[in-house]
Amino acid sequence: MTNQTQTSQVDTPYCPNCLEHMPSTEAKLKKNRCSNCFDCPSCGHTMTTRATSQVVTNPDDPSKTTSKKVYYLACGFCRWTTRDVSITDKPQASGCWEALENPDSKRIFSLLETYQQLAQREKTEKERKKYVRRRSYLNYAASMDKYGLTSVAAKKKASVGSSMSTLKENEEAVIKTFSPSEAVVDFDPLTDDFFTKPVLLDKIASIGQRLASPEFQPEEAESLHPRHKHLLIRRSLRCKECEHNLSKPEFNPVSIKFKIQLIALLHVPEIRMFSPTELKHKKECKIVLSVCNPAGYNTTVSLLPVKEQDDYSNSKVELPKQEVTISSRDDAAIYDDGSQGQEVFKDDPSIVKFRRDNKIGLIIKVTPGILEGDIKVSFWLKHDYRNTAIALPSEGQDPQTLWLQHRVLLNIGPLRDAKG
Amino acid sequence: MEFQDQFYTNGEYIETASGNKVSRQSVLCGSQNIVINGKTIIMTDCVIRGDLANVRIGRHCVISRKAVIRPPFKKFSKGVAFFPLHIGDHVFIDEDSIVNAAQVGSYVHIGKNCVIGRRCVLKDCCAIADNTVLPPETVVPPFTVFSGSPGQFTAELPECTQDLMLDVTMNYYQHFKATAGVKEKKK
Amino acid sequence: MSAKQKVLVSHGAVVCDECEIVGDVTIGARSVIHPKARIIADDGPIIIGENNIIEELVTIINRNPAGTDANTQQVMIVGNNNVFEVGCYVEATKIGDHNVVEAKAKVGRQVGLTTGCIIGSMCSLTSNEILPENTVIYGEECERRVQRERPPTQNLQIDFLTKILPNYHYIKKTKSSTPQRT
Repeated sequence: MTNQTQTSQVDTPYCPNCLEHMPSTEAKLKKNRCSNCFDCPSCGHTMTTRATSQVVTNPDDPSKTTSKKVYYLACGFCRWTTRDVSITDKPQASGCWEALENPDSKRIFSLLETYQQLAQREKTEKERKKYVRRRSYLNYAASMDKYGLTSVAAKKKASVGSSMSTLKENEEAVIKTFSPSEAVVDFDPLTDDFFTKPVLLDKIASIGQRLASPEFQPEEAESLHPRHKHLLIRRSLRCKECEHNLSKPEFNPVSIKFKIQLIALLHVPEIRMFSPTELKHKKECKIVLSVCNPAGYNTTVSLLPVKEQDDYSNSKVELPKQEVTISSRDDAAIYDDGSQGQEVFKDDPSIVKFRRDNKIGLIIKVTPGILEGDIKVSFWLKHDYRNTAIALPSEGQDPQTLWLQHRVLLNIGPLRDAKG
Repeated sequence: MEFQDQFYTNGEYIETASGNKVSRQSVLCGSQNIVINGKTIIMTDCVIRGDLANVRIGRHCVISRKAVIRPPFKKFSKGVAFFPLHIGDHVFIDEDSIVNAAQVGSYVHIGKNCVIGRRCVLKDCCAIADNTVLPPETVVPPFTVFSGSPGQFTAELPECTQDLMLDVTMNYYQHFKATAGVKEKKK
Repeated sequence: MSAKQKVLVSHGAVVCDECEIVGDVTIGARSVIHPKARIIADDGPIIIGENNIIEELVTIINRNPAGTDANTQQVMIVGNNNVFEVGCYVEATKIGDHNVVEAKAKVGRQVGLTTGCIIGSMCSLTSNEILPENTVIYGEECERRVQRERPPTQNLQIDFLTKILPNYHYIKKTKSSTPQRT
């Protein structure tokens, strides 16, 4: 979807299960995971909460028993439940399921802090270099005291000085917390029964299951734990050159409407092959292309050959020389009975095969140049484009007409004989 | 490629007043509970279980051969019941698929040989690839493609999906024509 | 090879008329067979227990694999409380109780299902083994694991179906011959 001409931007993260929209800042905090939905560690499907009632002795009266509703998570695909790993059932349907804490989180946090301080230090050093130069000017001016800059110079000095002083404190702090990790030198050798003990496949987690939670990588099936579900995003697209927004979806992830939707399908004529035809090597075959005009005005279309180097095509193509006009798209035409004031176009039958509403069939002649593989040709499609969206009819101006050219790469398929 | 005409013998399909084309060889149980909104094609060997619960199918849908449309059942505290199944407009269900979903949105494409599990919810403008198994209670958000077994998010759909599905279903219906007499199928 | 055309539908079973039952088949009480199911007893009788649900387009077939002696007859026994979901294909000769064969699954001839087994959607099981209790087969590559408890019974669904299916379908009934008293 993204190519060299567009940039995509993350618009709205949302959970694919509960379809809840989450602002990007909140998503960053939660590491792009939904807080309510869980994935099964065994197969990856979303888990459902199921309720059962548990008989519990009444705390007030030991002889009576009351039933309490308790909840557990279950997977509908592989039938894994939280009870399989001895996680106790919770009294509430949601909000009670704790995620396992990463054993390395403290170390990661201290490393993060240290590097953040280092980055801060480098940043202030850069700024310091700038101030070093400017300070001389200010001091000079201040000493002259012509422009009353003494106070200004003093303030600047104070601010730079304060960052410099905190810098010194930080430097000391940096040195304190940073202790490099120690390499493990010695560990126990493999026990002998590692090779002789039979492997119980039921008890061992598979590689896919282990890698699904990389912080823990559980080896036993007993240690599998449900994970929070990863969020999906909806993007908005932007043109690289002029930074115009091309497509912007609604906030609500369920909605299929767009705030801005500029799709080529509605503006550029669409070319399709009309029907499968006979293709023989080195024989000129006629192929009908149907060109559909999506715009609300009559479009003039012409096909031009590719003059510069063409890496794509492997066969020769002969294009119609003249321009052809295609009538506009009329949505009300489906309800019309027959021809009601349809414009009459004089069509050259060697170029135009048929004309129906806003479609036209153009004949091109292809001479396949290869024996095997797909026949590919390319040409330029030139058509006129009127931007009716920004036209102002009240001013009496005609909307601007642009001529646009698009390179068309046509893959006709392999050689085939005529069908009976 | 433009759509090619697909023909059926005149007696094979019943065309209703609202433009639905229903094959005589399809099995519509409980047809009084099945509501089809118009210009929908139901091909041979389909099974639609309207006897279990209401089934509503939107306009311009295409339900290909051997598909099974079946309302899901749900256990309530007071008992069990079959949920009504709503299928939106412009939905294309390919051959051999089993749809047990609770709700299917509009502009959806379901591939060949899929199993849509019980009580799944398919939102608008999504696609299910061929040979997918969607486990029960999966939610498929818009503009996504789910595939594999268990069905998981694999790809995104472009923004013009709505127009593309509109085009596919309407063209399919226009090119689905009757011939009197000789059975002929051109693709 | 003569096939005995004898279908015995117990009292309380709901067998829709649109299903195809061929050969010597016995269906236990409170079993529900949806329309368009196929139960074919080619090479031996099929005995289906009680409280089973057999959905549409299911094929339960008792047929010897190609190449075996034409005269061998094997009884196919399906226990109680099983569920056969839409489109599955079952050839196994011994199926116990409380099993679930999910949509489009395929169970081969040599497999034996005990109690509480679940064969997941689109899984094809053709090995020569008897599955231990409470085995779950799932996924593209037919992975397996053991679940803690057997799948829940479908009594509520059977009650519901027994009530509403007769409203929409003709039900097959075996005429019971009353002994004549002289």
